[in-house]
Amino acid sequence: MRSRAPARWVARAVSVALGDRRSRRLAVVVAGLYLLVYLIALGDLVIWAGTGSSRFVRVPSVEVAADWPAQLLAQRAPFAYEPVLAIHPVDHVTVFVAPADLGMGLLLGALAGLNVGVALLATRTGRACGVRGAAGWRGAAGLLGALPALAGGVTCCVPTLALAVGTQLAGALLAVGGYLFPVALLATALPLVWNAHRLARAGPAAASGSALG
Amino acid sequence: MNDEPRGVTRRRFLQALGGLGLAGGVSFLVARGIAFRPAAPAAGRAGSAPATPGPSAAAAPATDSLDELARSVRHGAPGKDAIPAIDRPRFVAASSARFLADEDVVFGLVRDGQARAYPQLVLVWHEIVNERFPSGPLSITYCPLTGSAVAFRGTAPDGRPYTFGTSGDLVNSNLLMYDRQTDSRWPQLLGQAISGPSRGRVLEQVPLDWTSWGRWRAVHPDTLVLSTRTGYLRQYGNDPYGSYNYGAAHELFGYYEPGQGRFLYFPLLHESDRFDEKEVMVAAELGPHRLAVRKALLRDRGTIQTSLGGRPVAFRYDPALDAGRAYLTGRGGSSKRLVTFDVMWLAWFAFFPRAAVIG
Repeated sequence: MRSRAPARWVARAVSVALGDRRSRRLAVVVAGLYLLVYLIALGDLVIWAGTGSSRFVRVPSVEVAADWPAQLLAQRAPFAYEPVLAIHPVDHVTVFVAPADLGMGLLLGALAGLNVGVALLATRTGRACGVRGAAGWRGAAGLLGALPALAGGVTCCVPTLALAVGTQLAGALLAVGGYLFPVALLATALPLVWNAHRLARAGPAAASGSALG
Repeated sequence: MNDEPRGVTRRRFLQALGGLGLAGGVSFLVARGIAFRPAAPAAGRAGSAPATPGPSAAAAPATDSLDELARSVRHGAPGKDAIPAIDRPRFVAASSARFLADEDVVFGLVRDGQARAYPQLVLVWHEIVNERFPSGPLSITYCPLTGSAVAFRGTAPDGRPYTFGTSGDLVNSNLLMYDRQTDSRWPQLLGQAISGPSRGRVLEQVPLDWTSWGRWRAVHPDTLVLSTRTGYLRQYGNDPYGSYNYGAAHELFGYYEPGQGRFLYFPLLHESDRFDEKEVMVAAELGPHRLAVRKALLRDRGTIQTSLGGRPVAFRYDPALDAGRAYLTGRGGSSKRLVTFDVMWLAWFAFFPRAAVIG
């Protein structure tokens, strides 16, 4: 029996995708890579040349923000928050820990990863069941959908952004910076729902992954 | 009351790379005019400015009207206080300031008998320090894009002392501060509110020297230094715009480096190619009168005698601090120090295109 509730389609598809070793691996790798790039884009993971952090703090060490409870939800840009911890593992690397940033990066990373994982599953299942479709393309769209949030993150670093993309593009991103995270959330969620829907429509065998043998 | 709230080649490569990646996604926004206008020739591009101060400098208003400046405000950061001011500054003794190299830029002042140094590598992440001295509050402000550090004090209409935060906006590439008492907007280089309930009010400036840590410490060995324990976690030592102390030769780098051709982030109301846009000027004010001297010229000559608002003024180079100062000279050799500050030519001309210049 086909479920018509999108939440159930997604839950089912995710459950099946995570149960499939190849899909699960791909989803985890994509989610991890996305989180890494997201934290770099937000300036939460910093690797730099020149003056090392050892001039300013002991290395390795962990710094805690003076008033960290107040900083937890203090925004430094739309959807970018003040760090409450700074970890200095080696001289030229610093990890700023802002729990809200980390949560949002994990959420988008998980969605991007699941998009690709479910797309892989849908593609393989579709072939096995003789169902034609464009699951792979929707998976790619879901992954690409997570990219605007990266640009949203760097709007808090206008000079760096302007150097990279020029003043006009940096200005444009700054102007729409507040919308980029919600847009990315939608752009990753919708392809996932659509692929889950396709899987549900393909029938119980496809939706349970049993068609993969 | 709550008062808290390398090189061109590499740059072009990065621009090309980033531009390719993002051009498709946001180009329609640019086409619709959502983006900033490019730093294109604006209303008052000029090839030269008055060579020496003269009657014309006193007769014409030196800057645009407050309304015109208010209309030219541009977004420069995601929002108000996105660049957080330091409201509870902590200081360390010179002997404990091991995070500073001798060549690092500091902004130094002496007030109430106490010398204090504000490292540029800290202020580039905060732009404003709201200080409390025995004689009253003082705000030390720094704008990386115009290379200007100015100390202010002032009183709101209700008698409370002003404290400042960053508005996230810019005028002529210059820091646009807001005061927390009336929420008015103040361009740093003007020191006058251009909008809000305090519109038209003028802040009192306090002399501040742009120098290096080694020089400041030699002259003021008992100085205190603003600590990196600001209450915020930032990459102190990693300047997002470039460096004033790059490599073994301690060179200027990135945005701060002269001779890079056109390298601006935001539009200007007036432009002049008389000097390189990053050329450092020593600017002085006397009432409504303003005058700027090219710092390299002052360094060469040692002293430049001139006049400002019809009164004799001497610009003097202080070799101990590598700083330019201006004095109102009187009979019998008496002199009174005027407020001066270093500023990039691009910003000086953008704000004061009709002011006198010695270069």
